Amino acid sequence: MTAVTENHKTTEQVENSGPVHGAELVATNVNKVYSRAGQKFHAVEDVSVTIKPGEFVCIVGPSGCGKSTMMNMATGLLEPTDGELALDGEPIRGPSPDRGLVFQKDSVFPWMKVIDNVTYGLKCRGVPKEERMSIARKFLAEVNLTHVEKSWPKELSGGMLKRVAIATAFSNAPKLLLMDEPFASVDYVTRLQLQKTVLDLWAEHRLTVMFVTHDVDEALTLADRIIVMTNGRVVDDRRVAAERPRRLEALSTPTMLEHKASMLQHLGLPTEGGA
Amino acid sequence: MAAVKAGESTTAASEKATHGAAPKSPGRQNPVLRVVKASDPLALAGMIIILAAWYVVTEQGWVRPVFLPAPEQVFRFAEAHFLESRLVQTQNLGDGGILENLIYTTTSVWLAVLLAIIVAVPIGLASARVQFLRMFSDPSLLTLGAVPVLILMPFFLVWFGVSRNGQLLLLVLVAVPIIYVYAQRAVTNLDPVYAQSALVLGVGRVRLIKDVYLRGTLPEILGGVRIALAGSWSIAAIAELMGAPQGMGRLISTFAANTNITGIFATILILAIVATLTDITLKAVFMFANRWGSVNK
Ligand SMILES: Nc1ncnc2c1ncn2[C@@H]1O[C@H](COP(=O)(O)OP(=O)(O)OP(=O)(O)O)[C@@H](O)[C@H]1O
Ligand SMILES: [Mg+2]
Repeated sequence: MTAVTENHKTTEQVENSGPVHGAELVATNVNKVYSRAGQKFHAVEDVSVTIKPGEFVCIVGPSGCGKSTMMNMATGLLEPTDGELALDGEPIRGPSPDRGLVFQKDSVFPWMKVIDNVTYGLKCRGVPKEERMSIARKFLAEVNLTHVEKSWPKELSGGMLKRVAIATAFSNAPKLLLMDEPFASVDYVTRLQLQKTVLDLWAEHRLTVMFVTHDVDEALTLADRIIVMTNGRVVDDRRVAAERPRRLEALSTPTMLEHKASMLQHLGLPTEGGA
Repeated sequence: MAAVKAGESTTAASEKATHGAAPKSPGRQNPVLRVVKASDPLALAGMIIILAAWYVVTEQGWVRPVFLPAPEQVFRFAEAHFLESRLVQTQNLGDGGILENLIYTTTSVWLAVLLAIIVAVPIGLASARVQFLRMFSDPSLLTLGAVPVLILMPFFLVWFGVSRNGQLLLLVLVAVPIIYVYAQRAVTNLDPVYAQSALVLGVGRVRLIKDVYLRGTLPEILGGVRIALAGSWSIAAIAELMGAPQGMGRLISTFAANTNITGIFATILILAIVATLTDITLKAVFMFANRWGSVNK
């Protein structure tokens, strides 16, 4: 309980250089086999990766390649059929507020007002009201939603709901934040803004982020490291060293274009034209 | 070029647009206003039309008063016998009037529905998640729902004698399957992502049930309670006909035995008013529970 509040307090004064509060995620030979329509289906196959504390990792891959399955296993909502996932050396068994998830689907409780949604995780862990309100308000401000604090979720648009989910996840101060295509339903301009918001929050709180996206450009804008998955396997794992913030020009440097071309190749697309 | 310019000029505007408009907050509604809103004006209009038709038909003498007494006659009877009634007392239906019998029936109905909620809601909610429970609860409660339970009343009279217990049990047996089905369906309809999200946020077992399963299903459960309650009035009255110390059903049957048509109409009218008021109140509660609007959005 106190750990949460301490994290928020200490990071408030510190910028990029603050202590890393993120955790290390280690996946060892992780497999997930679903039975789909009576048949076994290997959704994740023998994935072994180590995500370092404070790293911002993007996972890119076509629809159905097992990205959400990986995320759900990392949160502990789903158990691997074989293999193990561990956070800071502790095997992952079931969900815990250490590992936050922004779901691909809408997960904001429709029966709670926006502010009650954002404070809910803190309330569950007994953070006093004043304190959780101020934490929630801070993150609502970061996602530009201060003005809808007292609204019902039904009164918000799809993109606004996503931002509520993001504020909720950040308020809970996880050591590992998993984001499953968080900006898929958001317009282009808002998406750019939110990318900046997430990067700012990440830089400030120094947590570990795993971010799923279909969009190669988004991955290049955000990540320290990009993992490409197809058919349940990791087919490419690369570091992106460019300075942040990466504006549009930064994405067209020769190195970036090379990253992009080679990733698209791994995704099985023709490389001419780039986009 | 044009595209770039257009892009630039919209950036400032979209900066605001992306925040999204603040929705108009409906403000705090007081409970009285809620009840008024819950009483459907169309239903009210319909009731007035029926009353008017009743008035016209009797006034014009199209129907003889032996078959259909005039409204004033019924109202006057209801008023005269409401608190204190010789007629009621001589029939051994208590030492008051219609009101005392109304309270008896109303208590039976409300108490039975309350008991049914206590029994059916937990089983219904749990049965949606626990297959082992559903294996037993589904066949037994759904069969119960299909049985015309009124045929059990004679047995209950043997077991309980002429007391309220037999009617209560009967009413509970009618309400339980209905509320059970609604509660079960409400959980089935609740997207599992909410429970998952709560778990990821660090919810405990009690809060998960209270804040996710109960709050997320309350409107649908209340919908079921409304339906159970609406059906309970007539069943209560019929059960009383078969044997009860007093009650609106008994009152109707004694008036019928004495061919007191006005008495029958007055009793039915009062019962209908109380049933309607109960429903309006419950609908207001439903609307409050459903402010966030999952059902009938
Ligand atoms: N509960 C399930 N039962 C059976 N099969 C499943 C289940 N969940 C996912 N799958 C299958 O596993 C595969 C991977 O699903 P997953 O949701 O992880 O994909 P994804 O990479 O997140 O795709 P998208 O980009 O469309 O979200 C898919 O082929 C899907 O059909
Ligand atoms: Mg997915």
